[in-house]
Amino acid sequence: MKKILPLFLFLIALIACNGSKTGRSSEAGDTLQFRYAKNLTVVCYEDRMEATIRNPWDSTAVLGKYELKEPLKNIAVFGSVHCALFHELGADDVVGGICDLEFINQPEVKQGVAEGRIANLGNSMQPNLEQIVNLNPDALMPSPFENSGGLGRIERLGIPIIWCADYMENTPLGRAEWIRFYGRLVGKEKEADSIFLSVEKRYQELCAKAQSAKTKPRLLPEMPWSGQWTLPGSGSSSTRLYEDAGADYLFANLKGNGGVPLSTEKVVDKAVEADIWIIKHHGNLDRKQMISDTPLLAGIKAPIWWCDTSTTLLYEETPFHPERLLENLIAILHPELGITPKYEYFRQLTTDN
Amino acid sequence: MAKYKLKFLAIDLILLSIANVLWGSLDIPVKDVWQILCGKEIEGHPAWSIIVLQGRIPQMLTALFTGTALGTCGLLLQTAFRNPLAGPSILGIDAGANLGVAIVLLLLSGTATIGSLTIGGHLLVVTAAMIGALAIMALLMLLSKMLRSQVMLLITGVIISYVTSSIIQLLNYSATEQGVHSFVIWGMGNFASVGIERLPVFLVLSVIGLLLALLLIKPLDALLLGDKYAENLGIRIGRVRQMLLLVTGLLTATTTAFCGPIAFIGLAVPHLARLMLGTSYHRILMPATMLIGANLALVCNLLSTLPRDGSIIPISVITPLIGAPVVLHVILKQKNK
Repeated sequence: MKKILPLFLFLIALIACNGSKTGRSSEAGDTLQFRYAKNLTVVCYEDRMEATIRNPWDSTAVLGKYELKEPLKNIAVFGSVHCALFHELGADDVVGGICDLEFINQPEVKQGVAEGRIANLGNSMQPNLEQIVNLNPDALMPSPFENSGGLGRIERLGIPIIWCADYMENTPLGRAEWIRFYGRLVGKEKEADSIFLSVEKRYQELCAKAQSAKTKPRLLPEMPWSGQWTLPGSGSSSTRLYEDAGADYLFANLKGNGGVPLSTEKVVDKAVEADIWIIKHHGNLDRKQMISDTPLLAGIKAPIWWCDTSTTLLYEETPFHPERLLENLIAILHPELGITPKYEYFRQLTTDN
Repeated sequence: MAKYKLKFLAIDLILLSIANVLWGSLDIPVKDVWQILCGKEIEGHPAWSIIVLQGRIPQMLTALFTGTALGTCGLLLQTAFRNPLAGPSILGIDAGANLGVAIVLLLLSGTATIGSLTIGGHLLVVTAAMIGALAIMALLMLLSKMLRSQVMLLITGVIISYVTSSIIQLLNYSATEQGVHSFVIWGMGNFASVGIERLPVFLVLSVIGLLLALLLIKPLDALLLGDKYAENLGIRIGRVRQMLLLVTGLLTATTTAFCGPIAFIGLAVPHLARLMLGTSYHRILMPATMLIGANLALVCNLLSTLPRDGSIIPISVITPLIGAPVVLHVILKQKNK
């Protein structure tokens, strides 16, 4: 993003902040304490809420600064993750427009679009300007990308843009905690706090159980494509998740906050030591075919657990429910703990797959 | 003199081939590589023999034959179209391969089901690229019978490239992030995707294409003197054109399907051969082009593993750095004529 981004100050209407007002006083307002989220600051006043979203790529800049006086009623949502979140908060009716409709799995939203209640705003990377003007939403909720240049002409429409930088948090609970901010945007602070509290509680419980395990299986994630193997770096949320699940992630010292591409040769040298191999893959997976595609994989003997992202809701559900993913990982890594996941995303790859 | 230069290129090729087996993104001591080649396992490093035998050797052979094939394609097309800037991408054959892969990765998300058979992964990508490239080649062969002028065929190829790239853009626009990422990575080209299992297919197709290209040496030399002169010499221009399309189509389809689009080698290598040998005769130029193409691809493969942190530089980043100065040289030379 640009080094200095415009600050968006919007007077929308009144929202009461009843959440965890355990923070210190900031003039007349209470700062909402975020225990895990690093890129958010929310201060609640009697008559309004002020929020600041920090620029995850530049600690000296902010992505947006907002003043909110009443809950948003008509939002243009840019992604399936946030659409699912509003559904969970019981705020389906705030979704006035949606981007990337083809990737939304919620029947209510699809029906809303079919009936004309929800506007189809087209592709999230290049939304339909006319549809947005026609919808006249209270706010737009896109995801920011580093050096993307923003939303172009749409930024000049004067519609508040709430940059959903949640995915840039480097801990699973950090991202999930954004639910408290999103809840306050739509007047669902109690529901949001309650959801997050239960997420946090379950996550910590699971984490403690995993840490008590006697073994620490060596974990290898993902698979190569076209000669490259992209692995989570040491500062990424995935690496933290693996640690919390009681895994000995083979590449825990890899420098980087996101995915780090490595040559297959380099990865395989270490990967032969893996005890468990987990893969997220769109569609069916076949070990024979994997080896046929990349012969170097023949040296990796670890059992494969895979998630078919085309048939599960992994990407929609787990960003704000990391405890579900953690539960799955612990069940795979530590079967001796006897944890049965309520939401099952991964299954073991057998010769029948 | 030309013979010495060809010998020098052949020796260079042997040295580069050895270097490609010894050198990779992982540091394996030379003595250990030698032990592995002698059939011994290296204690404490179970992956090393797989890396050398199933990774580096097939990768070296893939780079060698891809460079040879693309260089040869460039030479055939530059002579046939009398256009110094012609290359394997000019006829739109690799664009056909791109389209096939784009359909698979962007529209079908990497898996396809035909009846009870579901295929995915690299096998599907290779199949789709091959079908796409061969479909465009068949179309061009059909059109070449209808179009009398070489220039018109060239323009048709360029138009096909535009049409396919606009379809790809449309597919890209509505694809998933994962699909776009996979397509971008594939588009960067690499020599590591041809495993030991698929190497025989790749080698057989490449060798057939290269042998057919060698059969074209005589007609190509005649074509240098003009179509009418070549006809006077008994060369059947129409048949040569069809053969030429078949050979370049087969070689481009094979290399693009297995390695992804590799830019500039086909365009630059024939010029390097001409600059080095100072001749236009294909009897010398074609073997030289083959050797330089192979050498260049092996150099690119070595350069791709230069970063010592385990990452790799995509092939398509390296080839233009070598190819672009050659193309500029040709353009400036043309301008000064």
